[in-house]
Amino acid sequence: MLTLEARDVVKYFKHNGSQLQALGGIDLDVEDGEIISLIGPSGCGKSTFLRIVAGLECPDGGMINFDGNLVSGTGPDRIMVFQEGALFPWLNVRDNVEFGLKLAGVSPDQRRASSDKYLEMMHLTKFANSYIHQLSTGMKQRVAIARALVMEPRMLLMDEPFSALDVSTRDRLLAEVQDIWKKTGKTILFVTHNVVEASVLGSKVVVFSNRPSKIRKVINVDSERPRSSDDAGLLPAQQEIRSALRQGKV
Amino acid sequence: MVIPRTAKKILFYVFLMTGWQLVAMSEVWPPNIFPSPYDVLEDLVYMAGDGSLFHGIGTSLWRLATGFVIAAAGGLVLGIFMARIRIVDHTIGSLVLGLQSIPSVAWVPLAILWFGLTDLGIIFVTAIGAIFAVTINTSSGVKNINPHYIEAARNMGAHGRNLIVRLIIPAAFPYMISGFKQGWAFAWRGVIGAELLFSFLGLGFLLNVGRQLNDVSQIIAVMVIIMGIGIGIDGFVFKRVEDGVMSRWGLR
Repeated sequence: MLTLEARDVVKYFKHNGSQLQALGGIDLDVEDGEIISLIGPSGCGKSTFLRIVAGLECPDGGMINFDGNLVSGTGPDRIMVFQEGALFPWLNVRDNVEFGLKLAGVSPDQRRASSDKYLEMMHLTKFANSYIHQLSTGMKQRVAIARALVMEPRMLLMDEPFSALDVSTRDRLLAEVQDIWKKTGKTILFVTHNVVEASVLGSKVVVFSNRPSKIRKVINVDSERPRSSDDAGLLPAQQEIRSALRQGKV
Repeated sequence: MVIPRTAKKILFYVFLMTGWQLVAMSEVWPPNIFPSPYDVLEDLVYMAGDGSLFHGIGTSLWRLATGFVIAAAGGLVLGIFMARIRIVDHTIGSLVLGLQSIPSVAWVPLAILWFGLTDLGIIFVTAIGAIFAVTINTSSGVKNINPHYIEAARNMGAHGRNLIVRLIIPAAFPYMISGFKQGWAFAWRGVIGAELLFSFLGLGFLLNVGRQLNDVSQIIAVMVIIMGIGIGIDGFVFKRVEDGVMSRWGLR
């Protein structure tokens, strides 16, 4: 079943008075329960595309259907995990995780039960009462993922969430995201500029071209899960991604 | 030798008092012009005894609190509007910057004509002296909120009043505290200044009475009280709130 249909999505940016075209017509179909990696050179608009899917920005052309409905704003069915986590420093870990539930008017008992569940899933139970500045970068991303999962979204939108992490922390989180995917069956859109991350997570890797970006290639990655960053079986896919990224570069 | 900080402080004040006492005892100036610390203390005890001191403190603090609460609430609302709505920023924002430069006592003549020699007039001067500091700090606090915080909150379903109460205000709170601190300092100056000129009860009024009676020691005694209240509110109220927030955010 299709969760997401993007048709000819176009986006312009104003830059020093002139208009730049960020997205030059993106078509993408995402099936329910897929993990799709979006990769491309920096500044190519892959994050912009993600933000349009989230409803944080409006496309200047084309349209996006989510579960058969036209996307016209943010919604709790599509929750974003930001690059820097965007966690609220005035709240402790538990209150950060419960933020969206509180807004939705969920009762304290139910909030507590949900946050307990996802704090445990992300191995954060011991840190429920910590404030954000007391956490390492890796822990912060765990909180950000828990905060997104607690909303029970249909789709998780991850915007370069691991780019600030050291390699071993990143590898652990790559394993955990696959674990969550197995347990919850979430559809995940994962934006990255890292070939290894893209190939480990994605069942499909979508390669964006330079601005105005279009989809250059879609690479299927079929190896067994759970995958890890040093799986030799991922090498052919990684080579294919790299060569697709190189195309068009002089 | 290392002398602890509090010991240094105490030592300094002992020297200051002794020096003051010695100068007064030398009678370079007559005691009615330059009283000794003992005279000041005596006046304090006297004013405390007949209740006029506590009545003065109570009146001034009540006016301060009322004026400050009005200024804090008004400044918060105005500051948020300025930061979130461009047209408000470009129009009212420039006026606020101008009004901020008016010392609060300069509002006294207007306040007397508008409200007469009443509490309301003094509270008006207090509030208007403080409101723009709160407004400006709130506005820059809201403008400086990490845009990802706002996007994350919107993504989780925050909008309108919810967005303001659950995100904008707590996210801008460190700036707002600076605004409250500045605002309260202006408010305190405003109350005393207004009471001097209105000459209608309060600590400022007691200063005026001291001048009319040629009682220098009463004037100094009241000034000491004004200073003491200033240090007290700053240290016990604002510093605590500020420390609490800063350590929560990990800014200190």
